[in-house]
Amino acid sequence: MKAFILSCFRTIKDNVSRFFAILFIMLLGSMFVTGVAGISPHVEASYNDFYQQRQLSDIQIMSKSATGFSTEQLEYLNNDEKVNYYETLYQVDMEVETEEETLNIRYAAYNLQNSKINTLQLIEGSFPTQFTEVVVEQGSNTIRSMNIGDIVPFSMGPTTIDLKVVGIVTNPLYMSKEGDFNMNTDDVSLDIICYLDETYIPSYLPLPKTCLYMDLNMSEKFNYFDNKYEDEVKQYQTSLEETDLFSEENAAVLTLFENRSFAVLQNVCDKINIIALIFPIFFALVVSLVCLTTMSRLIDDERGQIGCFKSIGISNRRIINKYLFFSIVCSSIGAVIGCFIGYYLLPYAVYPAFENVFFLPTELFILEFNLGFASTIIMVICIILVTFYVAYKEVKNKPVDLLRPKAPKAGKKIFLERIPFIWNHLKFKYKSTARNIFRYMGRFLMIVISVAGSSALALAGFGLLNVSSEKVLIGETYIDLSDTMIPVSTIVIIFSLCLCMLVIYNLTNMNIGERKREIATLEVLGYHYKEVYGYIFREIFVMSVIGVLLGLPFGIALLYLILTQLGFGDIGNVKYYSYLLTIGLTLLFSVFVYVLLIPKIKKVDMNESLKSIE
Amino acid sequence: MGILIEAKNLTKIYKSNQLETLALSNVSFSINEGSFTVILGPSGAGKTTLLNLLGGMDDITYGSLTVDSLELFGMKQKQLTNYRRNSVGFVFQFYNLMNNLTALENVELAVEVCKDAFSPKETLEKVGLKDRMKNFPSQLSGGEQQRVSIARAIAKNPKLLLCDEPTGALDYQTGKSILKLLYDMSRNERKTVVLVTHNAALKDIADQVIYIKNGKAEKIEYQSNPKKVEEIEW
Repeated sequence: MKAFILSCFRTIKDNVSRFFAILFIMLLGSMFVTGVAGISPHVEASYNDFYQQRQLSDIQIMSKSATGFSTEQLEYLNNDEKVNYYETLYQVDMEVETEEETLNIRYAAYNLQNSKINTLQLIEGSFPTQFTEVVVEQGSNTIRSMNIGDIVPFSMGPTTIDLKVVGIVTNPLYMSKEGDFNMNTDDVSLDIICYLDETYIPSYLPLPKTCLYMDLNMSEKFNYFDNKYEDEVKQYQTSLEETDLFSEENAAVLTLFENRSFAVLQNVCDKINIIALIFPIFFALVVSLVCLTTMSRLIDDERGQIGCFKSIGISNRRIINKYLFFSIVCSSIGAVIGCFIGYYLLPYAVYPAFENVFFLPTELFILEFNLGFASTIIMVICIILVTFYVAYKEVKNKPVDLLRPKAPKAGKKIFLERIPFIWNHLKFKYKSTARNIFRYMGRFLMIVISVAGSSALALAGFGLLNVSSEKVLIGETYIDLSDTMIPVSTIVIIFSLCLCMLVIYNLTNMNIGERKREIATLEVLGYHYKEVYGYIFREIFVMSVIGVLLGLPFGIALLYLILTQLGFGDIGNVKYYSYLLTIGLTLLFSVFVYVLLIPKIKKVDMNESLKSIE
Repeated sequence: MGILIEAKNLTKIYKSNQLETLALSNVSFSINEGSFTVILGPSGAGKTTLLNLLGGMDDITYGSLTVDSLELFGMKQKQLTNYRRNSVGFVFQFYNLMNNLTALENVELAVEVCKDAFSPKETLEKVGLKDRMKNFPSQLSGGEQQRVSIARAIAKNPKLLLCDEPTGALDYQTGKSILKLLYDMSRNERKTVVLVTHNAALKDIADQVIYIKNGKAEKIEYQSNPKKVEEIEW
């Protein structure tokens, strides 16, 4: 047993570069999938927590009677078991003409400091201490920023009085920077939302309580972004609308989903969730493909050793276990580190980017099983299964066959040679490159598919940036989604390009390892280093070019799939520079990888050419 | 007949982890242009080290080695590469052909980077592979592969042909025909051939035999009447 464990670690030691190749690719893959899949859950969890603290209302009812809610209506709500708590208040949206402009202002009056629903938080100044003082909602994209001391006009019949701003507040109802509409005129945003304290309102001035905010008793502990929550409140909305007291003539019953801020937030999270579903699947596919090639190459290399183990009577099972150990250790380490970074650290980079669209509550983390962890586990299982399959296939061979070296794959004529017009005019080194490319079809496909896959992801990422800069209808309002798509797209682009680089590094590295003898021979023949680099890198570069060109249509297809799911964006809006960037960056990174690998070629000893074939 | 190679106190020390290994110590000899030299010795004696130095594959620790009045001691990597490129042809024990290149292309591979090379096609005809030029190594026998390897070395038109156990991986008959080919090449093309082997039987065909043992040139023999390849046996 001790010898076996020793040999397990020896395998790792002998294959350190492969160990780290799988480890890093798994790390990148799991970091991406958990990171992207975690964006929405993080944002949602943070808002959920915030909303609960601030007692966000589930239902808003606007009375259509000028005097506000009737005793019957309130009585009905008091007896409704579904209702947990409600508050009535004065709330009116008005178009106010000043000397310079027309302002859309919402006036709300209630007991500001003792309210138990949609509680306000003072971020500057103080709450009003007299009738002519108000606090206003913080400035955003639509709501103007006001300073303490500014004046808000308030018209009461024929006279207009000046309300002095004494404080700036936040209301959980308006967390999107898109603010809210004037309820009387569709499609006009409010410029100011101001709050008067009803305590100081003189009794000669009856402000009718025409608005009601309500908290419901939900059937279970809900999350505001849950579909179940949406179903339940909408069901309640319908049931209330069906009563005579709250029928359409008497009242307007609204849920959070008719609140512009909440609708935008919910929509953005939904869209990110769709992206978080599609991208990781493709990413995980490429990651698995690369890892399985690495593993099968490793086992292939150790044929002789496997034969040796078998010939001294070590069981097949034990030999397979050795390789399983290898793949489990490297993929799990990568997966655990990747998940950790993806879940705990990546959101720190993404979360602030939402500041352009939302007022973000303090961040909160909750560990829950998300799609990213599921994809990571699937990737690890994939690698383990493939390792088992490849190892099993190898140990099934007779020891004699394993001990005999595998015959090197024969060269063969390629299609291009049948076109003498081209072939005969090719320089010798290009002929050899052309043959090498098609020599191992499996490897060729592997490189091309991996590069195509990662560049497709990158192009889809760039494309998503391009198409989401159009105005998109969300809820009842058009907003610019690009701001919210920037962080996600950026992550997709960065990770795809990193993946691309790791793929090329891994494959080039393997290629050099396998061709040490050829490299040594070229050196003995007097090839200068530059010429040797050309011999090795040229063919990988050609494969990368084929890969990236194939990746473009795949990327467009992927983007098309995503856009259909998102329900916005036109594929035709992908800018030409996105294609150029994808091609350019992929190839630039390839060259960067070659530069990294130059020392490895330099290290090849010419004596390699004198050694016998292992 | 002039002197092509002159070695004086040739010494090679390998250093690894503060451990110094004296692989070659004060070896001196000279080799005439167009002659056939056999370097003979048991494995581990320093033959390969000597071959590496002669072939410009490794740097000399100290001593002097001139090939065609070119001093190899103290040469930079790039100069050594140029030396290998233009002045040396190498024949390996295991042929070292590129598997995905045809026989002809393997020769072209070597010729492409050097000046004054022979035509690859004609050279392959010379080694008796006129009809096998378009074949890949896997379609050739061991002997044929070694012929390609010899053609590759000769086509470069080098001053010096270095052979590392060229018959080592071949059966007796094939080995002999390869030896004959090398011998004829040396005579007909006036190439200087240096052949490294542990097979003492081969020494009889040489003009000069250098015996290497424990990193030293133990003995140098000149043979005014070397045997023909047909006359030797092992």
